[in-house]
Amino acid sequence: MRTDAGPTDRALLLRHGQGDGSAFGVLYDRYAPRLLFFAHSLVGDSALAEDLLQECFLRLLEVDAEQVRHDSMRNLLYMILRNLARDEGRRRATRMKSYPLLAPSTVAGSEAGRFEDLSLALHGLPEEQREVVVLKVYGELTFADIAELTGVSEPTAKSRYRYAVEKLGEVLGEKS
Amino acid sequence: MNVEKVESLLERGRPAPPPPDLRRRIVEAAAINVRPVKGPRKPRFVEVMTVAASILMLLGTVTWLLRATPPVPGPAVQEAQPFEDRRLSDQIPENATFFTWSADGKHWACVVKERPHQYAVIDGKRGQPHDAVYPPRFGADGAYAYISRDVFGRTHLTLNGVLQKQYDTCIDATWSPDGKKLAYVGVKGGRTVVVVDGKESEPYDRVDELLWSPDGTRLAYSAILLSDAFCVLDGKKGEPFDEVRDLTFSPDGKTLAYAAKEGSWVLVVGDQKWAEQDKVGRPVFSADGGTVGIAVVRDKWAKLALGPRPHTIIGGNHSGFQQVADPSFSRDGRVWAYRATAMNAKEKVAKERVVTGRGTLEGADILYRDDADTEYESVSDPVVSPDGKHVAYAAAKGSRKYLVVDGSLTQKFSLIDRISFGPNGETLAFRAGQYGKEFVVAGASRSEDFDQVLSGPVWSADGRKVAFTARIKSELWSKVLEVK
Repeated sequence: MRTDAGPTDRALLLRHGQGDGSAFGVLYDRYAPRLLFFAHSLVGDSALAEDLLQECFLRLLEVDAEQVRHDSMRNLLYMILRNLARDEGRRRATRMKSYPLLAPSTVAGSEAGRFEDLSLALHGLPEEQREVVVLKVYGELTFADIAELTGVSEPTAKSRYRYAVEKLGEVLGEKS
Repeated sequence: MNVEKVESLLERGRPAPPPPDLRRRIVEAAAINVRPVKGPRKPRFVEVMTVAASILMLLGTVTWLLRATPPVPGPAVQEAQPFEDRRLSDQIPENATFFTWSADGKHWACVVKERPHQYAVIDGKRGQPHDAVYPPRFGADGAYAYISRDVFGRTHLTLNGVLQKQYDTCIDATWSPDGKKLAYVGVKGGRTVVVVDGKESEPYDRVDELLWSPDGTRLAYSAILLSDAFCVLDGKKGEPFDEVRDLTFSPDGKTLAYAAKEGSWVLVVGDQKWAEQDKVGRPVFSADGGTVGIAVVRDKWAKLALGPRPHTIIGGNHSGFQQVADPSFSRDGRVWAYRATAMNAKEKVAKERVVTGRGTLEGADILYRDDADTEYESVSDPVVSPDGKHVAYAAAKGSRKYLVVDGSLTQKFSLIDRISFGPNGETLAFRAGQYGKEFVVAGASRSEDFDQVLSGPVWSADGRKVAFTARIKSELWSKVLEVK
């Protein structure tokens, strides 16, 4: 995830607090797609994921921007969103779930048709494994970040990722 | 497939972009919720007004709906709201959230947050301070109830200004639709009971989903006792399952439907159990109560199941979809429509479309319409006219939204939602947005522009007017539009 180009997240949050009307939009564009995918993969409901994303960004405004390390805004957003999703998920744990769909990052490609299978396979993973994959691949978090966010050790986060990828390989291999 | 190939495939995938209107929604919400850079700051008036205004989305709709459709059982309507423009905003206190009105429009309530405390404010009168206060709810004749939380995390009920402390924890205070009875869940000493008019149910380990029938005479809820989950109706436990959820009454209150899990999921409608499925959604009744529909998933494909008999699985020649949403019905349940998601084989991306069907569910005469050529990036849940002659929804193409009526693209704006048919079943009303402003369209009429249309449009009973609430800068208005 790009945070090295343009103003830092902290600078954008400060500018928003000082009345810069465009700063928050930049923050949104920087993180929203991946956060929304993460939220949808956690709660299994696209409309609910959108509501949680909105609440997540509004909760960010509660944070004192002066106190935020320049490199920790992304992790903070994921932490807020994860907590919101878990609270909501507890209430809706038994509802029928949908899953977020992946699309190929390039329009053409001989394997483009496999992304539907990949989305389904990802959805079929145990929640704790799916979470690590989504955070690692689409959130671009490090294993150390993921470990801190999910409250497990770094080796556990790594092994969950490995199990998940192996499982995906098995499922996708059966389909190929 | 080996690990390297999986990782390569994962990295070449990308999450679908969020809907265009989500960015506007969130950035605008952030703009009116600017937090202090340093030190505490009192919210500006415009911020306060707008936060409070957002809560009015519910109140306006509910109040005007009650005014517009008196024959439908619902909360007491003692005196209808005047169908005229009215300025609302001068009644809202600072720091107000969870703003709500009574059904008769005579009383209002909100929650005021002043750190470290929160207060319920009823008709301008501030209640006791609490650690947190949840949205107040009005019953009939100005009766009100709300749940508050203390510093120890315990929740208590306040009923008509009197704090009730007979339970350690009190949740889910729910007025009957006529506003005359209040049900809530009380927990004390490990016993969980449902309390109605001071009378306790038998104890359970857990209780969820308190649900009154539309006429307010019956109460249903899901309960867990030891390892069994039950639906409890009128105090009587139903068949035990592993899980029970999504309780839904038919409009006449005579039939209760719910989803239940016992290995697989089944839909229970009255005393009938439908076929087992891998997953099920939420049951939906038609207005006449004669038809019930539910999204189901079996063998990874999503379809629609309709009943009550022979609970036909609707899919036409299609094998199924990735996702199917809750259906909408005509009044008699003979026409239905639902939103479905499928992968577009050509573009290799998920697309949405609306599928419609009509028939008597006897099987042979079902006419099924699923035109895969009319798929879009996203569609809203469809609306079926009461007589079943028309189906309307909003479809997104890029940053534009199109109003689709009976399959044809009609009007185009950057925002279209809250679509509804008028009483004649022909005229449509909806909220629209363009160039940063929002307005209401009803038939050939278009309202003036507003900064936000917060609730509605809601039709008058004669179909000649629609009402809605709107914000103009810091002012909040209830507005009426004549329908041409």
